[in-house]
Parts: sequence; C-alpha cells; structure tokens
Amino acid sequence: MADEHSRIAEIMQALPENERQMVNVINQIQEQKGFISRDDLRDLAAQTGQPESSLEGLVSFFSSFRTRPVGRNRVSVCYGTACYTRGADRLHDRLTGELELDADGTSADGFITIDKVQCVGACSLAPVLVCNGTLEGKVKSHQMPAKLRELREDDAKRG
Amino acid sequence: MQSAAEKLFSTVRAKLQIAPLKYTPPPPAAQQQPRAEREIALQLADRCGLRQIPQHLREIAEQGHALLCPANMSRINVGMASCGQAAGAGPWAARLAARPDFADRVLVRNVGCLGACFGEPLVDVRTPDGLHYLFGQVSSETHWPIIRTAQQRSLQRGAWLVLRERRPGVFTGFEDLAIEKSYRDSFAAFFEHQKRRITGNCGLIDPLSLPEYVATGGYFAFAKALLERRPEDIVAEISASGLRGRGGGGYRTGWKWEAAAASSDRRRFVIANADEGDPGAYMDRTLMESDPHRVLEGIMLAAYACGAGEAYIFVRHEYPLAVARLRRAIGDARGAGLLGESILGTAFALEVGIIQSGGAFVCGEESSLLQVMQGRRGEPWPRPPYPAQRGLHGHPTVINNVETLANVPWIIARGAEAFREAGNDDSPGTKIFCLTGDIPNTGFIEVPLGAGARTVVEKIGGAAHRDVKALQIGGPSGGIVPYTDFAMDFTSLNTAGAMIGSGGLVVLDKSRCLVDLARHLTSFMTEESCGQCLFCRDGLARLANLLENLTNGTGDPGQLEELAELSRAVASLSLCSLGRTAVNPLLTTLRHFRGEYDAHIAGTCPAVYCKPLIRFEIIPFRCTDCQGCLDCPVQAISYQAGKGALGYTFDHGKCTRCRACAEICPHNAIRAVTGGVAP
Repeated sequence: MADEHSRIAEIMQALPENERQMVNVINQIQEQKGFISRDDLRDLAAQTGQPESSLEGLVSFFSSFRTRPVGRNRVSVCYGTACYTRGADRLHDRLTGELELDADGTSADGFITIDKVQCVGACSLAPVLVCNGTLEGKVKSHQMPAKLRELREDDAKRG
Repeated sequence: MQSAAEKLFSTVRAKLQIAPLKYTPPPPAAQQQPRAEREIALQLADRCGLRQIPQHLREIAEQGHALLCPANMSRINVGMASCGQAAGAGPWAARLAARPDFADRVLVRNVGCLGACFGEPLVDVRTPDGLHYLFGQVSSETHWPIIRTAQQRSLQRGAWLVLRERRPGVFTGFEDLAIEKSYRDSFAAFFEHQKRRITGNCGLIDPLSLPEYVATGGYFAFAKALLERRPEDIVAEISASGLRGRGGGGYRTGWKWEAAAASSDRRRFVIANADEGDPGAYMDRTLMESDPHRVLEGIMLAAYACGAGEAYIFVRHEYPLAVARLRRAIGDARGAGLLGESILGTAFALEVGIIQSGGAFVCGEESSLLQVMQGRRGEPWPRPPYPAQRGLHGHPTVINNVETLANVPWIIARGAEAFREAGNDDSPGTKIFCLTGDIPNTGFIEVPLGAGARTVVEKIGGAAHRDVKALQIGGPSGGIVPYTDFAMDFTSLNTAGAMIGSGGLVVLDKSRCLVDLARHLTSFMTEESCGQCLFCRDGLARLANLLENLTNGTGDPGQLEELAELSRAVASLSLCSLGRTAVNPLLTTLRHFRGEYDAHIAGTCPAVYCKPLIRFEIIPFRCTDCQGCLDCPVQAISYQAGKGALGYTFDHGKCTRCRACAEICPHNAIRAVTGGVAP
C-alpha cells in the first residue's frame, strides 16, 4: 500500500507543474497501469485532498477511463460517422461474435479487450480499427477471424 | 554527340513507342537569380511587415531554409501523420533514411499530411532545381523510381504530379508551388481548386523541426506583434479580419478577445480547444500533427493580445501523436526563447501546458471543458457569464478552437484585408473540411468559405454527381442534407438545417440508409449527453428507441409525429448546444428524406441496409460456383455439389446479415434485397 501510495505521488511529480490537473493525472495512471483501480483513486484522494466521490465522478464521466483490468490485447473499433457508414458495426459484430466477452468487452481469459471508440480521426481510411495502438485502415469483417488468430499466436508466444 | 548506346535506346524506344522517361525542366531563367539563402529572412520579414528581425530568428530561418531547399541535395518528404503511418509509411521511410548512398546527396525527412489521404503513403521528392515530384500510394513498384528521381534529379516513371517552385530556391509553403505537369488529373484537381493558407505547411515541412517552420515565415508574426505592435493592435486586427470560430459555433474571435482584454482582472488564460469530438472531422489532429508550431504561434499571439500569462491546449484522448508533437514543439519553442520568461527580450512571459481529456464529446463545449480542467465532471453551465469574462478559476479565459488559432499568425502576418480576400463578408477566410465517406479523393482540404458544394465534392473529391445522395455536414450536431450546389459558409448551411460544425463532410451514396444513420448519430448523442437536462438525457434515448423501431421494421405511422414533436422539445429545452443540436440529423432527414422513413414503416429499406429488412440472394449468372461464400460464420449457406449457382441455399432464419458472403464473393454474385419477409 505504501508503495502504491508513492507510485501515485511519483506519477504526479513526473508531470510539469502546470499540467497537474486531475484529468491529466488520471490519464497518466491509466497509461501506466492500464486501468484505474479503487485503490489508486483512494490514494489520489489522499494526495490531493479531493473527496473520493468527486474523483469517482470524474472517472465515470469519461468513456475512455477503465476501472477494471483490460485484456493483454486491445482492439478498438472506430465508430465515427465515416467508419460507421463504411461498416464499423460489421467489424465489431464479427469480432465480438468470435469471442465470449463480458460487459466491459474483455474475454474471460484476459486475452483481449474489444471496445468502440468515437472517431480516431483517420476517416479517410474508414473503416478503421486500432489494434494494440496501431491504426489499421480499410479493414473488412471477413479478415477478423484471421486477425484474432494472429493475436492469439503472438499471445501464446509471449506466454 | 549521341553515344552508340543512347542511339540504340532511342531506336528501341521509338519502336516500342515508349515515351522518353526523362523529364526536362523548363529553361532555367530563374536559376540565374542568386540563391535565396541569405535573403530568405529578409523576404519573410518584408512579407510580414517586420522592420527589425531579431538576429536569433534570422539564424534559425536560415538554418531551416537550408533544410527545406538544400542547395546541392535532393529532399524526400515522407508523409508520416496518423494516416500515413496507418498506410505503412513508417518502416519504408526508415529504410530510405538508412541508405548509405543518400548520405550527402539526399535528405530524407518525415513530414505531416498533405491532405490527400487517399494517396497515402505519399512521398514528395524535391530536387535542387526547385521541382517537387509527388508519388502517391507508394509501393514496391515506386520504390526505385523515387530513389532514382532523388539521385538523378529528373523524373522517373510513377509520379502523380510535378510541382514547381515559382522562384526556385524559395519555398515558404504551398502557395509558392505551381503545377508543372500532371500525370493523374484527379490528383492535380484535388490541389488546384483549393486555397491552402493555414494548411500551407502541412505535408511539406518536418513538424518536429522548429527551424523549418521559421523558414516558412513562422514566428515572424509573433516577433512583429511582440516587438513592434501593442496588444490592442493585435486584438483590433483580429476583429477587423472578421475571423469566426472554426470549431462549430462560428462566434467572432475578435469579440472574445476584446471581452477578455477589457477585463480588470489581470490573471487571464488562453485555452486552445483541441477536443475534436466530431466524428468525421480531423482538421485539428492534422494541424497539430503536421504543423504544431503554427498552432502554438496562434496561442502565443492570442495570449499576448489578451494579456494572458498561462495557456493550455486541451487535447482529445484519442490523439496521442498530436500530443507528442505538441509537447516537442513547446519544448523547442522554449529552447529558442519563444516561451518562458522575457520572451525575445520583452517583458512578456508565457507558459503553455497540455491537458489530455478522457474522451467525452460534450467537452468541446467550452463551459464543459472548463469544468474538466478544474477537476469536475464536464457538465456545462448556463452562460453568461461567458468564459472570456469569467472562466478558468474565475478568471477571464479565451477559448479558441485549434483551427481558429492557426489562422491568427496568417492574419497578423498579412493583415485583415488580405484575409478577407477569401470568403465572403459574413464568413471571411478559408476553412478546412474533411472529405470522407463514399468519395474517391478522401482527405482534408482548405477552400474559401462560401465555396460551392459541387466544387468540393466533384472537382476536389472526384465524385460523380449521380452517385451522391446526401451530405452529412458538421458532425453529429450537423445535419444530413440533399446534395445540391449550396454555398459552404455559416449562413447558407444554417438555412439548410445543417451547420458547418468543425467541418466534417461525409459524402453518402445510395447504399447508405439515412434512417439508420440518424439512429446511429442520435444514439451517439444519447451516450454523450452529460445527463443534466431531462430532455437531452431521456428525450434523446426515447428518440433513439423510436428510430431503432423503424430500422427493425416495427415502426408505425404515428411514430413519425412523435419523433418530430419530441425532437423539437429536446432542441428547445436543453441547456447547452449538445442538446440543442443533437436532433439535427433526425430533423434534417425527416425534412429532406421523408420518403425513406415512410418506406421503413412499410417494411422496406430503400438503401438495402437495415438488417431486419433485408435478405441475401445469389445472382445465378454471376456465380462461378467457387464456394467462397461457404465461409459463412454461422453456416447459413448450405451447398449441394454439381448444381452450379442453384446449389447454394440461404437459411434466412440463421443468417445474421453480416455481409461476409457478399464481401468475400469475388464476382459480386451475392446481393442484398429488401421488401417482403423471406420465406
């Protein structure tokens, strides 16, 4: 706990002084830990003197903050207007159809998290997905099973 | 004297009727002019009206100019914005840069996006004689031609377009280039009909290089303002230019600045709103990724004009590359003495910080953005007081969109009058639009405000008139309007029921169902509603529900009345512009495309799109019995060998309408049909 405590302080210290807004700090926590745990928020509240409830409110307000662990792989399907008109839901349906995901879009074995994102700004390549941080454009739904197979193989290699 | 080999080649060429590949540039009358390196800073200062150039800026400009127009080297620009990277430019550029034979002959630079996203990966080869050879959709086939063009300094096969510097050796942005020769007319037309002012550097300079930006005239406007003008002059210039906010509202920038500058409170802020939430719009991302210093210079000028000592850039969570490049730009500007304490030796001091949002559409609304910056949920508050009067922590705060700020250095450098040369009285200047959807030339473009829709969609976008059904303009708060030749400015679009928004332009062809699109946009807005106002929160949800009934084929005629009435209530009873404009897609489609709604009530989808209203069938004469479609994820296609196309049977109950079969079929032999329920 003490370790964790200093970890949050470290994250805050790493930010330039004029950028220590709460939303920046929470973004950094998610960046480094993958998600924002209850404990992190409690520590942050203690560090900043803000009530935990207001931090909770801030986190729940945004769609990209996660409060539960994410899968080892992350595929985000862009649902911007351009992607939607060019078949984003077919991609999403095919991906989720191939997997068994919980309400958060994470598979039980922690292999993958599938989520929707509102426009990554690469509309000219629609439909787009972001696979582990890499943009992929002009994808087709029937390529999805192969994509998942590929990710699974890499996943197995890494153990 | 021709050598024997050359003679042989020319005979072979003549016989095979191959045009000689070598491209001869025009007689170099201009080449006799002295090279412009020494005078570039003077020229830039002249253009911008700066009387005394700080020595330091002059040196940086010369350094940058040597990179942009190297005297005895070719320069290869590889487009490496998000779109270029997604198209695979990264590894390719790295391989090129590592070539040992390029060492002192060819300079390889990573640049941003030229806007022609359909041509990515896009490469620009500049030869020392001031010619730019543009190669589009670079692949292994154009790999060698590019290398040879750079090395031999003459055109090889495969270029799409050749541009010429009007005065060879002077390059300060796209305006200095003229079309020399076009090998692909649609690509030339894409550039020809644009007016590239604030995107003039995008895709032509290295966004990570401060010197290259300075060599295009960057920070000259800032130096002029700081050393030779008073803050009130800058505010007056912006007011005179009539610049209007490019983020959606269209509010006059000058008014905001005047209000903040007039405040008695000495602590003031400037915030660049880069929370570009509109799906289908990415002009802010492109500007930040391709020309971050221009955005930064706009912020600095705004801060100087309004007397702010602290500035922030509020960026979307989804734009990591933009954040990285801005951070680099801020660091470099500070290193060059353009940020921090006593800038350029004056008393002016400025710090710029970056705030990353967490992904919420409503944060584009300025009062919501301020809430988040103060650590609260982004729920908008009623205005007035406007942020320019009382904003961040209660102090006057000027919040401008990124594109608006990118206009500011141009206006200060060239003057309000020059700015008004483009556009019309009510909407002066140029605007960036993002052309996406069913159109060949997707990308981001800059045209004078008031340009005709047909110029944009057909001449620049390359679409055929008969294919375009509708335009979705201005993101989910904008509208879906029939395709006619209306003027693209603030007033005309409002009349059509849409709005310019941030400038997203999704072109829709006949295969797109507008009822379904209205449903998609309405449910997007439902999710993004902050929940404060009853009608926005629950009214939108009900609307999305009703629309879903229509796309499911369970709608009835009475629902259209309910849709119209409820959406009027949502629009008039919401606090912020999210709720007030959220029903625009629905209202505009109801107004312009009523027939599609009626058809859905009758159980058909004219665009053959809505899953519950369609089924698939095989077109027998196209089918080659290749069995590709048997890859159906739910095994809804059964097959009997030896019967050709008739051997395939669809189980419509099992079929999920995922279209995998239609996408896989190499002969387009599977089509969707609507009308009546399948047996």
